[in-house]
Amino acid sequence: MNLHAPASMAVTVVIYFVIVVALGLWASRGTRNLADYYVAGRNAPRWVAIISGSAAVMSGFGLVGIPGLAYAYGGVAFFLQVFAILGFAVAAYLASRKLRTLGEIRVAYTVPDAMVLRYPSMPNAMRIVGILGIIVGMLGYLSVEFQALGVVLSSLLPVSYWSGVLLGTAIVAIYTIAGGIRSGIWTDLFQFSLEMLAGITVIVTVFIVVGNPVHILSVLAHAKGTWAYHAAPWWPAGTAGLGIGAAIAWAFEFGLGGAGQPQLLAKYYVHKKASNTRYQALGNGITYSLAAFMIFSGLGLAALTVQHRAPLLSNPDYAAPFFFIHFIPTWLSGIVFTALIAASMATVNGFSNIASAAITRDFMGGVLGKRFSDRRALLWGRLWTFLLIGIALWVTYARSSLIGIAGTEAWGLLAAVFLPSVAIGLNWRRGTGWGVLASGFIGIVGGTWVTIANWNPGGFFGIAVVMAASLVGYVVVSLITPTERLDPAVEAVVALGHPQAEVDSAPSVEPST
Amino acid sequence: MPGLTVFVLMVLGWLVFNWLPGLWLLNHSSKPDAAMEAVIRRYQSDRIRIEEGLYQKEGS
Repeated sequence: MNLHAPASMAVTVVIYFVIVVALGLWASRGTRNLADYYVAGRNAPRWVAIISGSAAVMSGFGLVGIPGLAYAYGGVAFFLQVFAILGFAVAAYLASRKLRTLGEIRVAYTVPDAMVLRYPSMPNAMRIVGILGIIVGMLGYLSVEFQALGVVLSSLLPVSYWSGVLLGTAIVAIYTIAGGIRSGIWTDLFQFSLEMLAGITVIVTVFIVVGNPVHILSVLAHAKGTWAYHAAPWWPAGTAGLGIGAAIAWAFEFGLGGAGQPQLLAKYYVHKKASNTRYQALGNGITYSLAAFMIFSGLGLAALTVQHRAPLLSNPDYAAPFFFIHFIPTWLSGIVFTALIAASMATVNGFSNIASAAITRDFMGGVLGKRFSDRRALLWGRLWTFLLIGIALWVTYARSSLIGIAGTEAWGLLAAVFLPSVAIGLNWRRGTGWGVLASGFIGIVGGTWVTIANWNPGGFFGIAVVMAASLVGYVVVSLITPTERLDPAVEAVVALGHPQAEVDSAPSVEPST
Repeated sequence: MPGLTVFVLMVLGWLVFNWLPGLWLLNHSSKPDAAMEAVIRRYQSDRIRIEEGLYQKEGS
């Protein structure tokens, strides 16, 4: 869709591409082994690691898809965005300290590594569940990011949607294949800074151009037809919009599901000091919420459309790009526009890394028992990164839906697999490998089925049903199967946060002889 | 007021959820951090030995 962007914006985007590739290649110089490639040598400064976590979650789904949902459906989309902000604190509370500690005392680079340590009775089965969960979730998530790249680049440059997809993917592939997560965390810092700048610019512009949120909601509430539903918390039953079921499903899926996103969980490992995880929730909450102001571009544009100050968009996914091009001053919009591209690229980097790690380290190394030199392991890691990006491109070609809806499905599938097995399992001693098998089966098979079948009973997202079922499956099957016998170190990690662990940590007094 | 629920959500998202849970966790991190450091001190030396046996150096 040609949105008639000024040429200067295209120039800014080209400069941005050069900076990102240069930064990624510069950071990749220090990549010498798998620890560098997958956990950045466990040496990332506090705020670099935290912002990298925010960047992994704030994707094209968040910056392009959620404004599209707000434009199409209004207030109901805030259930998704607001509970995603809360989800960071839930995730950090459940998993950040535990995963980073696990990385310090045992060999844990990947999320499946943590599953193997936590459920030692069936290591290969845990790796396979982890690998399948990551690969299936990644294919869905990356297809969302590629769609977002296509929307953004085709609205800015004189290229088609598919040329935009291929151009953006090629650029992110270069620095991801070269430098893995070490490149990723430094490019994330640059890219997420742009995303925060974009969010702040959007909220300021919305206040100036449209008005404060109360005014926007008032304009929408008094509009004719279905626009009035944009001011309601959800659309009434029988209308074509998203009802109370969608609102509840989003609150559940995003409030709790953040703790099941492997692209975020993997970033907990990269902290230089384990104690830095104490800032994870606060840091993610503040930084992510600044970028999340982007949702107001969709709601603001809806109000402008009602006021006949903007045309009706045939594709709601173009709401954020349209708002940028037509309502933000040109000198600023070029810089801010790059944030939309940055969001997708940062997530593609994060996801292709953890998926490549899952295959190279967890499948080839863990399940097949292959042993590699550092150089050979890196080569395999880079090859799989390349192949996975290619497969995800094919999936993007094969299916399409609103970015926000496709993102909801991918998010829910990942949460259904990793929320019980990792975030709950690291806190609940009774969880067992059989429980993970049950929840993993429900998450992967059920999640794939509801995505393909587009099953949304009563307006409640089917993927949220799958997520709830996987949690129930994990708990029930764990309770009826034998307790895992844990390595004492892992036992101590699971006990962290329990009152007994705090007693154990107190300096012991040696009996005098 | 029209859109009151949506407005409350906005307030929750951008004035409450973005900092309050994180600040609470930060202010209550002393005990869990001490427990974490104790676990790390107790078991950290194991990892180096495990890691050394995981990957063979090329040519060896």
